Amino acid sequence: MTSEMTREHEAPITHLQRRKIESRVLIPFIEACRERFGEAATRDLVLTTIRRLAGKEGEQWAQRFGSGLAALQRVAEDVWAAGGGMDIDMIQRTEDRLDFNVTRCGYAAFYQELGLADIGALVHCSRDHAMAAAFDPNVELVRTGTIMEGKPCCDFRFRKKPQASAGDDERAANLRPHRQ
Amino acid sequence: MGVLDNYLVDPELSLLDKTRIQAQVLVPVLRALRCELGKEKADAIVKQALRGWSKQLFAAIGDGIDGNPRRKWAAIHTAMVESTEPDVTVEMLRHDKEALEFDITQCRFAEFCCALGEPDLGALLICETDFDIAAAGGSEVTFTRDQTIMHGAPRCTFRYKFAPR
Repeated sequence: MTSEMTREHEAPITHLQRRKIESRVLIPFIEACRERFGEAATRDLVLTTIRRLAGKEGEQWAQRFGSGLAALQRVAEDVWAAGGGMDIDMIQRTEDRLDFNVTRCGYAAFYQELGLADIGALVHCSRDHAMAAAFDPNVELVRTGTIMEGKPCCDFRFRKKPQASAGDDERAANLRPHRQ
Repeated sequence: MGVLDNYLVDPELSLLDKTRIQAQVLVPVLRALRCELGKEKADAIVKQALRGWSKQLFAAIGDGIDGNPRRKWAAIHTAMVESTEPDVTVEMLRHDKEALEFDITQCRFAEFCCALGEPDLGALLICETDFDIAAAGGSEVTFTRDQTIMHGAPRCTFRYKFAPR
């Protein structure tokens, strides 16, 4: 992507507004792709591209907020939820966990009102795992459901990955099959 | 609430900012599709998608404005001028009850899209919408434009003719 496309002197708008603006061209594009290119192929193409963009966004947010779970909490509260984009029920933040539920999601409401929750899941919810991995390679996201797919809340559970120790490496080496 | 809110999403946002945001996500998916299908087929899909979207959108915006078609066109045109004004240089040639004629001599939309190497996409996102806006004027507004900066000309030649009242 060229620097021209990513320059940062756009008017300040909320993350939800940005996603709505993107959707105005993404929705007709995805619908036309499905019609001409097929459902599964379109899904693969969009998922791959959206995850790549989400990774870049994760890197940009890490530059702005820092890495780690406290910084990730700021992304959720200051970016995703900005301007009433979503309601977050914070459960806990410890040294190795950040747990919260999203109990109201403006992003899901937007797509559900259009009857396009499937596209919403594809272009919105599917970003989060790739974003988290790029934001901090030591963090992973486990989420069992989302409001977009009809669940009562989105259960975001971020975990610090266990650091591999020298002992782990040795054990792993011992488990590897030995070539004759 | 402005007449273009449904188009711009955020009234504080200029059309150029909106175009940048859309290009940031649309260009990568379009390029991925070109890798799969080839440029011609992929571009045909995006053209079908964006033209259909724009026609529907401006028809709906026109439906939401009270008055005759000429008034609908004038309301949308005025709002578009306000949103694009900072990013284009306009040379007014004629403005009376029968016609509106002006050239655009500098265009940041074209600069942006050409710098991306995507003038055709820029034409779909920006230039072609002028025909959908003119369509809100029905038979009372006739719009022609022989050339655009987006497609390499030195200026864009906007020519509107109005039916006698």
